[in-house]
Amino acid sequence: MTDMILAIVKRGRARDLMKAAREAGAGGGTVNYARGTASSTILAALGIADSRREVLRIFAGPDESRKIAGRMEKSGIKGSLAICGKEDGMENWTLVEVICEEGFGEEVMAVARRAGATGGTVVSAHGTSTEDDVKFFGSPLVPEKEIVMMVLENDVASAVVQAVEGLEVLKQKGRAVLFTLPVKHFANLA
Amino acid sequence: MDLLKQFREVSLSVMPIAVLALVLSLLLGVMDFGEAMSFVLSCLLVIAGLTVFLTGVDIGIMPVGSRIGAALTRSRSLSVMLLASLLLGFIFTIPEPDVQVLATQVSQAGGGVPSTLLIAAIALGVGVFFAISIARTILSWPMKLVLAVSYIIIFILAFFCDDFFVSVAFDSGGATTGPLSVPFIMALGMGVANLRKHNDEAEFGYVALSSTGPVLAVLVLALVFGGDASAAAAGAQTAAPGLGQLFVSKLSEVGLSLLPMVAVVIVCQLFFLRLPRMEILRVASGIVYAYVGIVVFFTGVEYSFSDVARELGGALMSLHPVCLCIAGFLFGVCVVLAEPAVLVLTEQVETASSGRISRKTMLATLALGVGLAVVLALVRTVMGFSIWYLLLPGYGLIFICMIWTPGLFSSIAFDSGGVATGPMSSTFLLPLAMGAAAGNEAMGSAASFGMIAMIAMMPILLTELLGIVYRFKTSKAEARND
Repeated sequence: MTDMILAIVKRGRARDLMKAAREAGAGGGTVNYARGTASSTILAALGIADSRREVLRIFAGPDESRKIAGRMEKSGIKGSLAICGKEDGMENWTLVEVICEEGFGEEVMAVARRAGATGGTVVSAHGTSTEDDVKFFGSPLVPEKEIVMMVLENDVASAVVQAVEGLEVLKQKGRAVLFTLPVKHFANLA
Repeated sequence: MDLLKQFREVSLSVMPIAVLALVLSLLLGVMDFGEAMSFVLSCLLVIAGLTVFLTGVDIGIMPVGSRIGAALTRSRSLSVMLLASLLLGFIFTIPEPDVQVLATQVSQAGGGVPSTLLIAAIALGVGVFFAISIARTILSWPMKLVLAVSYIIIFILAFFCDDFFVSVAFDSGGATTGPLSVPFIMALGMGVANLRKHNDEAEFGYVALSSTGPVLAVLVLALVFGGDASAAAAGAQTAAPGLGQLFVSKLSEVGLSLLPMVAVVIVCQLFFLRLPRMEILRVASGIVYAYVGIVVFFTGVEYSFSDVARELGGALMSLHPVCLCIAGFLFGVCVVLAEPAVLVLTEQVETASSGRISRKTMLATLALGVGLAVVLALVRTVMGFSIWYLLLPGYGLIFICMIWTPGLFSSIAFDSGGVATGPMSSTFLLPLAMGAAAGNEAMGSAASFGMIAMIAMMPILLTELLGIVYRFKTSKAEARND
């Protein structure tokens, strides 16, 4: 079983965090840009508490992942770190990911906050095309999407999942997909 | 956007020019205590305004621009997209403050071109070329080819025009793409560019072409009018308005600038965007911030900056032309660091290149470019030679470099030219040149037209050189990996 170490830090800090991870034996990682959401819906509507973030993912076996995560936590870089994987009795958190149409991320966050979430990270993405997709001058038209990621304690996660699944707009226009992953370790860095 | 972090970054950007201007003015005895206080107040307003403006752009203007671009693409009709971009380019250019100011200066300076006609020509130029830039992305025309063809036509036409109109034409190219329309044009273009996902080059170039259009339009206008400009009398010095008065007049000026954008956004939202409530709240907040931010920014800039710049120009000129040039270089470097649209562009470049081209690198390149541009323009002002001596070698080098520059950098290069010529450069560097030129009676203020043109030209050259360096380094890295 491979674990995924998921670290979310301020933009520009992933490189230093990766250096720390390498010292503990990590082979490599993948980084992408993301946006951190505000802690309250009012602040989100006003748009003044977003933050620019980076998401770092490292894959490792179950024993190494703890070692690497430990080293990363001591690096002094602010952010949050989660180890996604299965370990009986340790899975106290859940990574909830919602893939929705672009523009609907904040609606998902608003509903999630009402159900108890404090924050999330939003990543830009796009759908994939199939052979039958409509093409426009040679390129298939694929929808722009957002992925909302939240690491939550299990009971909060169930409430959030229920709330998001009940959001009508996501089913019709948001065309959202929700899935969860078990998280066996979670820590706020620094 | 993290407001505090934004504030810190903006303060760092504006500090250099504030400190430099203050130190020089006090050294040369140009300012008394009261004027120094006004200047400090101006700087504070500039910092506050920029912070709020950039926040607004980030959460309001950029998202809505790119969604409109994406929605236009989904219409799957080339003619709809071209018509929409032509209309949008035209509508957003007319109320641009810089365009209005340039047109007034030109009609006062003579040449027989009424300002409304000039504005219409400029706006049409932007509209047509914005449409061309969208067509380029959809039809996958290579950017270098489009640029080369456009500039060949420009230089052929320029050959037949009077020196005055050539300066004005290149100035208007820089004047158009202002702090409000640049983010929108860029975002809309990027929204369309999502169609070409594997093509980095498609993300940039919209500002570049949109600011090329007016150059062509003005040259055509000049030829039609038989451009024969009589010597210019300097624009009359109006009494300096009080701070409150200035603020109120900016409220309406910028409001006029924003009204078309707001109308477009409302129409789009009602008819085809249909964003959910939270998004619309954020976009609305963003537009409000952008409005307030730009009003405060312009108030600060026009309150004291221009006057300080003009007096500094005169003082430095009488001290020694070399001092003027050195100071001009330093000012050029500092001014570009605080240009609103530059800050937007560098962020976009960093995001689009996934961090390979950092903001600092881009900023340093642009700063150097503008510094050199100011020196060249000041030398021309002091010595009074024709702008051709600068334009021809400059653009010649640009097109030679284009052979080796990667396509992506060519687009970014020409974008940075349009972006560097913003409110900071036209309210500080242009008066600096005018102050210096006041001593040169032979050419009068006509010699100071062309400063904007230089500021639009040099960053292009330097960014292309950056591209060549980048290409060299990436090929070395790839060779090492093999």
